[in-house]
Amino acid sequence: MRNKKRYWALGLTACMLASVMAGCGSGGGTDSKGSSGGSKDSGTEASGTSSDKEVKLTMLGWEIYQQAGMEALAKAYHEQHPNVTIDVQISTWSEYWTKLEAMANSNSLPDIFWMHTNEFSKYAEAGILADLTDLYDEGKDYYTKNFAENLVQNFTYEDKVYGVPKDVDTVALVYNKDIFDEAGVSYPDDTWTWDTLVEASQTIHDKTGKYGIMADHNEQEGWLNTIYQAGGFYVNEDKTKAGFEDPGTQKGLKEYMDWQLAYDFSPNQSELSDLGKAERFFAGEGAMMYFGSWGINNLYINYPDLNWDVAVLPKCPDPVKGDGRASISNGLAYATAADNPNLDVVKDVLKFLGTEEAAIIHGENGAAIPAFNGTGESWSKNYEGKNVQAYVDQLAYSVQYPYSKTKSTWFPEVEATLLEVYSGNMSFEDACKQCQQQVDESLATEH
Amino acid sequence: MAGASRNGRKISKANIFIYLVLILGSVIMIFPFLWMILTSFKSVPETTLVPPTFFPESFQNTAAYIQVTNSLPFLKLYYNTLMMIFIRVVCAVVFSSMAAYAFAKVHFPMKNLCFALVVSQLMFPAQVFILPQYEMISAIGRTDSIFALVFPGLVSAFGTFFLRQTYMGIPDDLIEAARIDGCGQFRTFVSIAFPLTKTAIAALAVFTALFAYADLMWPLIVNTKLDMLTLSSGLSTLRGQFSVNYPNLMAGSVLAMVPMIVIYLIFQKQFIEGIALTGTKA
Amino acid sequence: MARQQKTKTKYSKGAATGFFMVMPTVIGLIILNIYPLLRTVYMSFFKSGAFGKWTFVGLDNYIKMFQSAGFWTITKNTLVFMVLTVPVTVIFGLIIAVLLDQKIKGKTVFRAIYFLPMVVAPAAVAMVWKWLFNSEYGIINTVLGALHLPSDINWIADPKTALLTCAIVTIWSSVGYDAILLLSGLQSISRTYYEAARIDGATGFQQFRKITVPLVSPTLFFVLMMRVMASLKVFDIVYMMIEKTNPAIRSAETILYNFYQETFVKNNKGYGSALVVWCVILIAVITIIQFIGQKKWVTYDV
Repeated sequence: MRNKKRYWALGLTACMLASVMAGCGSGGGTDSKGSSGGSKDSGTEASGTSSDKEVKLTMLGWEIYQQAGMEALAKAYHEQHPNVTIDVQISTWSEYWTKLEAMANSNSLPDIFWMHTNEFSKYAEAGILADLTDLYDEGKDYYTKNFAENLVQNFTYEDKVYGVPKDVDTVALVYNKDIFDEAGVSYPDDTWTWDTLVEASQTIHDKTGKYGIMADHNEQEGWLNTIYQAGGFYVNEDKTKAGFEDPGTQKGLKEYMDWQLAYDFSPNQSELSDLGKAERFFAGEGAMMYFGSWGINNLYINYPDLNWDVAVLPKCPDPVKGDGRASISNGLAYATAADNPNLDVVKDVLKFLGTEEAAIIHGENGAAIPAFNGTGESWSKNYEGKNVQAYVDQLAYSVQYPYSKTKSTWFPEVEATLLEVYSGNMSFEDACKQCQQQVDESLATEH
Repeated sequence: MAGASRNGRKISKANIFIYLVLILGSVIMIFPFLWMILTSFKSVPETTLVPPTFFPESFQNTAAYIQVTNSLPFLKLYYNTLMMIFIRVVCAVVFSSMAAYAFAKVHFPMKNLCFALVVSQLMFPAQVFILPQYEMISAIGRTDSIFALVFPGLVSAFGTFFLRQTYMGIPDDLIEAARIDGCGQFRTFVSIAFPLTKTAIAALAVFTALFAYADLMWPLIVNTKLDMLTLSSGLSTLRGQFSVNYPNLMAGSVLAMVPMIVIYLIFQKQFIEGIALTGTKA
Repeated sequence: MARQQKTKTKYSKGAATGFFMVMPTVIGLIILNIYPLLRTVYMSFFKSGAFGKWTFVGLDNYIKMFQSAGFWTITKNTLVFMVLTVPVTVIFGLIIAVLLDQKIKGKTVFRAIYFLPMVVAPAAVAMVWKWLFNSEYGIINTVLGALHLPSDINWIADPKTALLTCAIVTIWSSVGYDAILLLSGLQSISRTYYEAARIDGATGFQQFRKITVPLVSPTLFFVLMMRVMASLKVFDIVYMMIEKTNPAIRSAETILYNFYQETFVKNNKGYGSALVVWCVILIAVITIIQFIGQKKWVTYDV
């Protein structure tokens, strides 16, 4: 027995040696450590006063094109409060949520992080986010006065606001002027309906051999828009029921899917998996696509030779209800953790980020439309000669990107079911039935 | 083939066949690289020509290289990758050699249990370990560091198993002789057995370096800052940034390849010497 | 106590040292791998909520898993992927290793060339091959067209070819690795065996069968085992080549791809854990079969 103990002791020593060795080797990284992982340590010194102590904060987001905008905001705040430095870190969308959850589990969330509607309720319900309702003297009124109703609603949980609205996006029709000229078709404008779109696509395809509209299997940049234009819905207001059996939903979904399935002017789903719609658009293969405002920066910077422009989405000519107009819009917010050790300082930064001044800095440097009412132009004037204002204009009738607590569970199922229709393995009617069931089942677990 | 004839030796039919097969294989192996390099000098419209052109219009077109070096801190990525590889290789060689020798040549209590534990690790997919390992790193506050990159590779089940096979091949007589001469177990290992495994060590070093280099998800999860990533993981962020701007993606890939080619060239010498050594020994 | 110690003296004097030598590895593995794995197994009996809120559900995840049609598809895909990649990779690897072991010029250059794919980051491998396989702008279809072969193959998005495409890329990137491992095994075979055989008048193929294969069999076994495990654990390459909206996804989705979807996308960590447990069981069974089978063809200690 004593022998055994000795083995363990020896083993443990070896392990300690190992960790010491590894510790030495990591010297290169220690300087950068204090920021994210070490926020806990610096907490005690900085709490209480927000004006004099040196504080280093971190902000985490997922969109690399917004790094410049975020850094400009960090700099602007630093100029007003020289003791506060904000370090901007950008992850990728696919890793962001895995990482954020792991951070939440180990109480090491960044001081400020971006929040998305898909994930918000999960974080709010778990009590992770700090209550920001009284960030401004006017309380909740400040938010409702300066931001779109739906944006504030997105980040409200049980009447409390947990996120400062950051930016909004919409979806519009992006088109290649040269192909329109080649086919002799006039450019899209706000008089266009679905019928005009189909007609133009067919003409372009017949005359040039190029694709008309490239209608890929896409939720936010695809069928969700036509569903709401036709008067349908994805999930209802109180998130208890999906809309796949609603006539409006089916009308809009069918129309969008038909552009690929019933006509020959769009690449099919296999072809679009081989090379995406955006890539085909960049290569000048197709005349039109539905495109989110977040992608415009890439298009503008990397494809200067492409002769493109933007128009509002064509409307539904005979909606089941409503006026046939809609564009799916989503908003992001800045949030912080309820147990952040520097909560006072962080709140002051968030307060700044929610001002008009910050929104304009965001717009001028950024790749996204700032959320603050009336500041959209600061973004659109970055794109000289292009009618990107169409994105901002659509905010007037935009529809909030639908979400629910269990969306991350049901959305992949809906996506896979509809894919079966695109592949020809399932009828449209059966797919709707199945989607309805899949979503309803998930929604039922939410309450 | 030119080399063979210079040798003055008549090339046999069999040799011609060998060369043909090897050359054909080489073409398949090399082609994607060639294409990578050629594409990195093309412009975006050039990549979407039908039929594709082979050579870029101009090799002076380095726009893609400029763009990727502007959007990724390549020097930092080289440093991080090399540090991670270096520490992981040292750990793998030291710890795995010790364990492998013990497993192959020493009888000790619970040996089978311990060995089963090591071998069973080879079966487990790395994805399983990611979240708990992240929580450990985060609990000790070492995210965004080189240590975080090294962490999952502190010990190597693969290395232990691989080296054990090598130590098994060393004749027991040799070990016995040293033991009879009064060498302790550890000294026998350090001065007799360990030097005989040069080949395998070189191979293990290269393989460990490769595993570490290829690791994609771990660095992305554990290190948030762009300048704390490794080449592989940095490259995958490029994918999100430029979608299919192929010249940029290929330029990034070419730049990411450089240190690995250097490492291979350095180790190749050891490799060959080691192989030659074992060859004459047996 | 003392008596017990006496009985242990059957271990050699260096036993303590031996134990000490394996400890860093063993303890490291317990912390880094065993604990996470046990947690995974434990988690497979729970349903995950947000942030560590777990509900015990017993065998529900497993029942749901075995009842789902998709589960058998991913298992089949994974096994098909193994069959597509392992034999070809190992056989090609052995052929290359044997050829490189001959007395030829330019050995170093060839070895370096075959090793080349190993130095590319997986992201880069996926990117360049996706581009090579592109049905319109890719060079592969262009070459096939020039040879008057079918050239309108949509390699990545046709359900019939998607998994094969991933297999080709995997073979390409791992054949050199196996060849190098096998070469190190071949180089340790003494030339005297071959000389003796040649004096006895054995042909090249006979030498290969009677000398090379038995003597390289331990390395071959090792390579085969690693390759089988790697093929059952396939994730990266499929993940990067086949997107979720690709109609070929059903015929290319592997167990770990599905695990990734369930765990990290759908947040079904309990179900995802059950999938991993299944993957480990599958690997264990196939590995045990290999260990039993090795007795028939692997020769140690010649």
